[in-house]
Order: sequence, then C-alpha cells, then structure tokens
Amino acid sequence: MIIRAVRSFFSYVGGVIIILTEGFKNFHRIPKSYRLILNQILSMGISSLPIVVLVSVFAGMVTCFQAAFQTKAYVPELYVGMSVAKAVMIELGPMLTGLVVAGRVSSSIAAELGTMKVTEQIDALEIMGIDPGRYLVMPRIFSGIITLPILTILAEIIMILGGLFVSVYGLDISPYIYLRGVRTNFIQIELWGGLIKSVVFGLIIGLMGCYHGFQSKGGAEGVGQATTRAVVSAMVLILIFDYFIARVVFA
Amino acid sequence: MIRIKGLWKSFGDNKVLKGVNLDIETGETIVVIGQSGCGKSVLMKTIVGLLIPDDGEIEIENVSLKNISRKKLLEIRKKIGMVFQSSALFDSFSVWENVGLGLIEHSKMSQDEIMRIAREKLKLVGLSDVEDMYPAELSGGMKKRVGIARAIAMNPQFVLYDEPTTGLDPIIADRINNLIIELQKELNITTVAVTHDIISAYKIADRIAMLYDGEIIFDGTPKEVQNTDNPYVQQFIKGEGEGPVSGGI
Ligand SMILES: Nc1ncnc2c1ncn2[C@@H]1O[C@H](COP(=O)(O)OP(=O)(O)OP(=O)(O)O)[C@@H](O)[C@H]1O
Ligand SMILES: [Mg+2]
Repeated sequence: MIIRAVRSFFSYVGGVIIILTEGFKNFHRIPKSYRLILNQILSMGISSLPIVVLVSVFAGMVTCFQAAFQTKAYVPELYVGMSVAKAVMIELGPMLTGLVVAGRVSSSIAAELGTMKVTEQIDALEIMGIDPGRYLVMPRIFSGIITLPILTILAEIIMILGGLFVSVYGLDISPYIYLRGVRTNFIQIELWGGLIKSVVFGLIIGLMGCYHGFQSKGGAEGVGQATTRAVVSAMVLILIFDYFIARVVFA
Repeated sequence: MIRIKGLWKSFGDNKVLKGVNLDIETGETIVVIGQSGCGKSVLMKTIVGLLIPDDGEIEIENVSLKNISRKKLLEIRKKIGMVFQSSALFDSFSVWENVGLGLIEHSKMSQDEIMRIAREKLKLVGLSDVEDMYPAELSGGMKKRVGIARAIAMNPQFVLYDEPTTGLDPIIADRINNLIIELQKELNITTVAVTHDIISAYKIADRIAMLYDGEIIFDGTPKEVQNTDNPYVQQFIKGEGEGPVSGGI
C-alpha cells in the first residue's frame, strides 16, 4: 500500500519533470514558433477573459465592503482603499486569476492533448518528425507564463475599480479618498511579488494541462479523467506555491 | 533497408511480439498478414520507434534505433511516411494542413506551394475539393485517403501502411493498390503494409509475411503463399473458420 503510494508519487513527479524539461529545452525555439505561441496566448487569454473579469469585479467589491465593514469606526476612510489595493496585489489578484484560469485553461489543454493522445495524433506528429515537446508542450507552457501576468494585472485593475464602485455607491467614501488610499503606503515588492506568483501559476497551469493530457489513456473516459485531474492538481499546486512564494518574496 | 531483429514486445502479461525477425529490402513491398489482434499494428509502431521494444532491434538504413538520440530519430522519421489504422488526422487542422503539415514545419515553401502539393497528393488518392474541409466532415474512407496523402506528402523513402484499404469501396481500394505499386516503381519506395485484404496483398506484395503468435511463421512471394502447405497460412488466405489457427472468438 505505502510502497505503491510512494512509487506512484515518484512516477508522478518524474513524469511532470519530464514534461517540464520538454517544455524548457525548447525555449530556444520560441522565435521560430511565434505563431504557435501567439495562437495559444490568444486562445488562453480570450477564453479566460470573461470569467476573469466577472470574478474580479465581485472579488474587488466584496473586499472593499469587508475592509470598510470590519474596520468601521476604528480606522480612517483612507485605509479602505489601501487595504483593497494591498489585498488585491499580494493575494487576491494572482490567486483568484490563477484558480479561475486553471479551471478554464488547464482543462482545455488536457482535453485537447488527451484527445490527440488517444486518437494517435501525437504519434502522427512524431512520425512526421515533429517533436511534440516543441510543437505542443513548449507553446502551452510559455503562453501560460506570458498570459497569466497579463490577466493578473487586468484582474487587479478591475478589482480595484470594483472596490471603487462599492466605496462610492455603497459606503459614501469619495473616489478621491479611495484612490488616494490605493496609492498610500504602496510598496513595489508587493506588486512584483504578486506578479512573480502569477508567472509561476501560469507555468503550473500549462504544465498540468500538458502532463495530464499526455497521460490520458483509453478513450473519451480517459480524456475526461485527465481533464479533471489537470484542474484539480493545478489548483492544489497553485495554493501550495502561493504560500511558499509568499514566504520567499516577503521574507 | 529495414532490419527487424528478434523483436519482443509485451504489454503487462500480454506478450504480443515474441522474437520477430524480418528484413525488408530497399524498394521492396512487404505485406504483413495475420489475425486481428495478433500484433500487426504493434509491429508497425515498433518499427518506427513509437513503441520501444522490450528486446531486439530495429535498423533503418543501417542505423539502429536502439539508444538513438531523439534528434536523430526525428530526423530519420522525416524519411518515413505512415498511414495509421485509425487515420489519426489532426482534427484541428483542415485537410490541406493535415497533408501539408510536414512541409509547413520542415520546409521553407510558401503556403501556396504547400497547398498545391497537398492538392496534388490528394488527387493521387482520388480526392478533390476537400482541402478546406475538416476531418470531422469526412467519411471514414475519405479520412483513410487523406492519411495516405499525408504519409506521402514529403516524398518519403519508406511508407508504412496500416490497413490502407480497409473501409474503402473496391474501386477506390484498387486505386490505392495501384498507387502503392506506382509509388514503389517510380520512386523506389520501400513499403510495409498490413492488411486483411488478401486480394490487395497479392496485388501489391513482393513478399508476404504472416505474423502468428508473436512470430513471423511464413515469409514468401504471393505465389509461394498460394502454394504453401503451411496449414496456418492456408487457413488464413482461404478465410476458414475452422483450422489450426486458434484464438479469436
Ligand atoms: N498501447 C497498448 N497498450 C496495451 N496493449 C496494447 C496496446 N496496443 C496494442 N495492445 C495489445 O496488443 C495486441 C495486438 O494489438 P494490435 O493493435 O497490434 O493488433 P492488430 O494485429 O493490429 O489487429 P487488427 O488487425 O485488429 O488491427 C492486442 O492484444 C492489444 O490488446
Ligand atoms: Mg491493427
């Protein structure tokens, strides 16, 4: 029992590392593969955009509401904007974007590659002398790394605007005070730390999609399982790495 | 030439290939026959390095695939075309992109040129006006033929056909047979084909090899196949339900 669990853990880690190196060792071919990458970035970005926007608006609103509600009568109004901005940059922006995009993109990568695997399309690529590592894995991992920070910045802006909306219409805080609060006590490392997270999350999303896609076995059922696994493992890894990156960056 | 030496391959407890030996000369067409599930597709995939044998060796043009670097393997594969039993078309690409993908990736040709070649190859397999369709919009036989067009798009030296005529009507099937013969004659392509279609086998083969119980139990010209007294071969080519060949249902 335990031996089997340990063994399957190591084969999992080994498999993930193999896919990761497949991706990274082809990074020098990025310029030549710009089209594949551009396609991936666009499809990732466009497919996640609506849900990221929606989630961000409400996340920003509730954060602002709670920031004001919890501190009502204790702290000046100026700190509402500051609390929102800090919460958004340090945690909410990268984390929520990561989780939402994991659900949207890891699954679709796993489904696409899984289908290609079980219908022998990946074998067909191999036969044509096309390396699936370069053709499929690298563009997806690289696009994740590029797309996530962009989506995260966008999400953070929208969250702060969501907060602005609530503070003006729900809390009667003037927009000037709120926005001044947003800039109060701004520390650069908080912004960069969040974006570093989002880069890692992008990597995790692409990697988990590719790994589980390539692991697909059998037919449609196997692809379905791979899809679920990709999402769950991407989300779990995002939460784990969120903590450890925070410990390193904000140490 | 392709040299297959003592090939073993199993999946778990299922021993599929148990010491397959076969030499395929340059320019020769060899047809592998054998019962459904006897390992013909596994043999094909092992020949091109898609499956790693448990034991034994494949040599293509005197280059062993054992411990070959990935780069070299991919390089060798550019000289090989393969038609998959399941067609294995890229379903996110249109028909012409499927046929032209090798050229798109490996050559510096313009898109127009690649489209022209794709159209030409599609015509060879009896398809026209399908180049902008997607695989999902094609019939099974059409997919098979697109698969053949794709396999020959890069003018390979070796073509492996996994059941090229299965699922095609007799007229198209015969055209594919003729195409295989023509390609072999004109371009001296080395051909390995797997088929259940014994008429097609007689027509295209220089040699027919029968795979049974993980080994090549017979290897000879179509004439020799017809005249052999090997009971397994006789039962297979006559398509008899009763006989020494076990397994199946
Ligand atoms: N990827 C795989 N994993 C596990 N078993 C496999 C795999 N591929 C093939 N097999 C097994 O190998 C055996 C031979 O399969 P193969 O597809 O080569 O048969 P075949 O001779 O091509 O049959 P057919 O004429 O029906 O296509 C079968 O018993 C099959 O279950
Ligand atoms: Mg088969």
